[in-house]
Amino acid sequence: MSLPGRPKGESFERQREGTPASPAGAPAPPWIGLAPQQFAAAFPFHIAVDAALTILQVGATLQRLCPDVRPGESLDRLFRSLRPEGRITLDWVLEHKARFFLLEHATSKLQLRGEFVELPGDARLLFLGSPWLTDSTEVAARGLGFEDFAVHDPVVDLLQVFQASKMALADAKKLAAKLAVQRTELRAANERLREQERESRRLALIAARTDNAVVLTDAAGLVVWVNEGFTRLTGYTLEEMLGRKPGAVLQGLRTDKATVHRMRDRLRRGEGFTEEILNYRKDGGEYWAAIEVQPIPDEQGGTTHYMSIESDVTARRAEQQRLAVQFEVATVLAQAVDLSAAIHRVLRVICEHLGWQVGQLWQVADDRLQLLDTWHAKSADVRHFVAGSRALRFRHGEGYPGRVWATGLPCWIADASATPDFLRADDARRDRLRGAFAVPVPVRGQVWGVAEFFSARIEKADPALLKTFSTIGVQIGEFIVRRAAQEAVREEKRLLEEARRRELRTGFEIQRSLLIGEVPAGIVGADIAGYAEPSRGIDGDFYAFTRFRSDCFELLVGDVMGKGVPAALVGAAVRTAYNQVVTELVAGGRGDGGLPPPAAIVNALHERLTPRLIELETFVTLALYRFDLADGRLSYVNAGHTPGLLLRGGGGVERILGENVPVGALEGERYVQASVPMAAGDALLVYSDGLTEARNVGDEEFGEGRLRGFLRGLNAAEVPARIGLQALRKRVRDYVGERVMRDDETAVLIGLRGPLATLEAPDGQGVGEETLELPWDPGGLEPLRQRVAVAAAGLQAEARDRLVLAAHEAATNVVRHVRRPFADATLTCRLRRQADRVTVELWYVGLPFEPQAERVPDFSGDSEGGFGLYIIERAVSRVAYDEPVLDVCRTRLEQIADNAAIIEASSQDLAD
Amino acid sequence: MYGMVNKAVEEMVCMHHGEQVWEQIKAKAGVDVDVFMSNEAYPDDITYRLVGAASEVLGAPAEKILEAFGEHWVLHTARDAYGGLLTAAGRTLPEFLGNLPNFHSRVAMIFPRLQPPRFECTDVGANRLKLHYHTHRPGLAPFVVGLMQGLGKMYATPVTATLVQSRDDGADHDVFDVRWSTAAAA
Repeated sequence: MSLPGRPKGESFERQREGTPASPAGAPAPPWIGLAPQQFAAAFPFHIAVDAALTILQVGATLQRLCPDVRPGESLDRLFRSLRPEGRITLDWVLEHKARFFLLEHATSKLQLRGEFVELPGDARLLFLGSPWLTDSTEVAARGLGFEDFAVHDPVVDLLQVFQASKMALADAKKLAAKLAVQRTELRAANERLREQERESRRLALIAARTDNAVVLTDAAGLVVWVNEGFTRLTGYTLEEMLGRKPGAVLQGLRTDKATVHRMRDRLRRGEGFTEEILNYRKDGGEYWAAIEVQPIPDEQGGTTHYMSIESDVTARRAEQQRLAVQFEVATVLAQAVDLSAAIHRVLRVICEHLGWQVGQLWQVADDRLQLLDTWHAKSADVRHFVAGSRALRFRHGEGYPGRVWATGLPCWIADASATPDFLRADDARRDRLRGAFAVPVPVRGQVWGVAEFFSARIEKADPALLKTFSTIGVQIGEFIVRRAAQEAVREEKRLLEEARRRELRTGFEIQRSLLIGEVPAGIVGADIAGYAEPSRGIDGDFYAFTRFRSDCFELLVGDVMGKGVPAALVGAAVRTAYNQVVTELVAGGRGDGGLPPPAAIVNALHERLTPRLIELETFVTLALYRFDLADGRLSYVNAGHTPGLLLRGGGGVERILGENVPVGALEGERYVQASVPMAAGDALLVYSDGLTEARNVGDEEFGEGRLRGFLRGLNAAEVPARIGLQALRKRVRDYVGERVMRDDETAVLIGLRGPLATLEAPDGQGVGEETLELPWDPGGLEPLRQRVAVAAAGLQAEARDRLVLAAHEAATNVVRHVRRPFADATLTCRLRRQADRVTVELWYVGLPFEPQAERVPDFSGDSEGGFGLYIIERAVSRVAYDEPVLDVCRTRLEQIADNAAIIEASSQDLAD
Repeated sequence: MYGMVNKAVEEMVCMHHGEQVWEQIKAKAGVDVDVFMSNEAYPDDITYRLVGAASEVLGAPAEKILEAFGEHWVLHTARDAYGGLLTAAGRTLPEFLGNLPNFHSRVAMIFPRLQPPRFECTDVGANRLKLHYHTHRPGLAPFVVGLMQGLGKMYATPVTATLVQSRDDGADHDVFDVRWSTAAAA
């Protein structure tokens, strides 16, 4: 398709000019007109007006765009002329006919570019034009499409040109921006390049001139360059190194393999590293190199080269090594107790640090040097050398160690195996030992011994090392002196301690035998326990029991003023006098079997003792308590002693105190007695004031109030006397805590159990009770088995055996699994027989059982406890575990007499 | 081929695959041009190499690339480059197709060195026409199909373009039977 329009436009121009365009003389061309429809299509934006500028006709598209531009309206009202400027009148338009006009529509601001053509008829002016658009966006904005333009109208072409130039401009801007970025980048790159060049020139200069060895390898690790420093350090020239791997050239026998692996690893990953490594010079000499390797990256992040800088740190390493050896030897000696162990470790430390193979210590004994100890590296087979050394004795000045003994100076041999006057040269050769050095070990200015060391290499004498080892020799010597001194002090201390212990033990023995009475046996209906704990060795607290009948006994307690052996001796004398007085008074009785009243006993004692006590300038506080269970009375005399506490079964606590002065205080004193009724369930606690005066860390006394409260609990729970006292001891201990007891603790607890019969009955029947003390020891429970069997004699044999088994298991559990509160703690077993049942109560002080925690029986045999509990539960009618008072635990086993069915069932279970 | 075509390939690749892939394609095609000037004439083989390299790098056949490219050309490149001009070129798909020949004629006149294709419409019906595609460049028929699809999307008019006469078969130009749905166009 070709562009139409142009020819039409030209024909139209001719029409507008109104003159034929053909040259004169040519035949006049035919008149070409346009039909109205054709005209409208050719000029979609035309306007025709009459002389008064009233619109006669408007192009269809224009009218669509500007609806107010329609026939009848006035042109000069609707439009103003922008080019040329001026009011639109007929004459003005005609005057400027040759110009193009740019009209602007008042309301829509649409600009029309065109020309006015003068017409002959009514229509005087015809405006031919089209919208003036400078941006393609305006087309759509005006609601126009290409369809609205005449095909010949170049406006559309113009728009396309505008658009193309806009595009070109955008492209140019984009290109310019990109170029600007590139130029900046280029400048930066140039700058970097110049900087790098400067840096490399500088580095190259440094690398070439530095004292350090510098090696440049390619990415594969092959040398491309080394500096002079490298040649100075290693002896290898650039020519010798080119194309070789530095490690292959420099590393050798004693180079640490782990370090080499580590280095290879880092290189494989293209990473830099620093290491210290033992290298070898061209002449075979060893040196320690500190190596720093850096990869030199290319632009893609790969590695083109590696630069390695090495410096010789042999001297520093050696110094560090010497310091380390010295430090470690000092540490070993400081910690050592035993000489031979210390020497062995010192030999080992030295050899291991130096990489030497053998260390030996010779000791001067009987005018000869004898081998005391040898250490050798595990990797070295030095049998011959060690055996050879062992067989030798060196005289003063003889052989290698003998020479060191004689001179008192260290001695170095570069290669002992090749030294003619080294006596063990053959053994050294066989065991490949070469270098040697020996240092004297001086003790108090004399050579005590000689330490020798041997290496597998020829060792050049190292003066610094020799000096170090001389120091170590001295250190060993000092250790020997120090140890001897310590040994002496320790022995002295041991002897002292032993003597002190012996003394203490003696004190205890005295107290126990002279001052502390045995709890009387054969008292029925009373549960009696006592303990005495002297604060320091020995003291004047004492107590004594006297049994008059099975239902009548008395207790004497006393405390001599003062401490230590004198007080104990007086106490013992008082006790002895008491025993004599009682014996005399009972023997010289009225013959009716009546007993001397307590006041009579105390007065007799007073008469006998007071003059002597006054002489000795001391006195005794004492209290005598007589229990008569038959008539239910407690008679007593208290001579200045701490009041007793009488615990009533109902929970009350009464103080039992007298008004007499201590014995030995006043010669003329008459001691009087008092009495109170006592019944089953009551208990009496007699104690020394050391107990209530015990102080805790806050310096507060334990006090009588605390004691009373505790006792009330004990009595309410019918805790056996022995257990009650253990609990009391523990309570006071826990209270005192870290503090040391300042005073003696003595206490006796007597609980009245009522007139119960014993268990000894011919038919094993009838009511009875017994309290049994058991050692805290699984091997000591046989008495329990026996007594339970006695108590349960009236039960069926199987029920009896089961109760015995259960009691034994329960007691075993306690002694195996419960922590003993005191070294002398015991268990107490209370056996009770009633008409229909036998009860076994095991009492102890400690942590309670938690039977639930071990419910599942473990038959593996690994866990006795769990299995024991299972047995216990199955074997008896009832089991109960409780803790009636804090720290006081009770296991209660009950076997009911007529329980054949239960036993049957449980035996079935056990059989399963 | 004028630069806008190459620019369009660049834009399409960058938009869907990122600049790195474009650099890769350019490197593969051996094209070292930073900025394509829209109305500058570039050797045709640049375009062919770019399309070939894109096909290789993106793992898609060249026809598919050309087709996608045609669609992208209409919906993004031409729209951005021509702006209002494109909208003015037709209120409907058939109107646009009718203007296509004039449009290319003007390009040819304005930029005599470019050798734009020539389009003719014949057999114009209510919902179909025959689009004659004259070009001296071989193998670009899929591009025209993509253009039609893009126009269909632009005018929300379902359209199909079927190659009914092909230069590959010895004809002197390609002819597409273009059909659209009048319902949607209305």
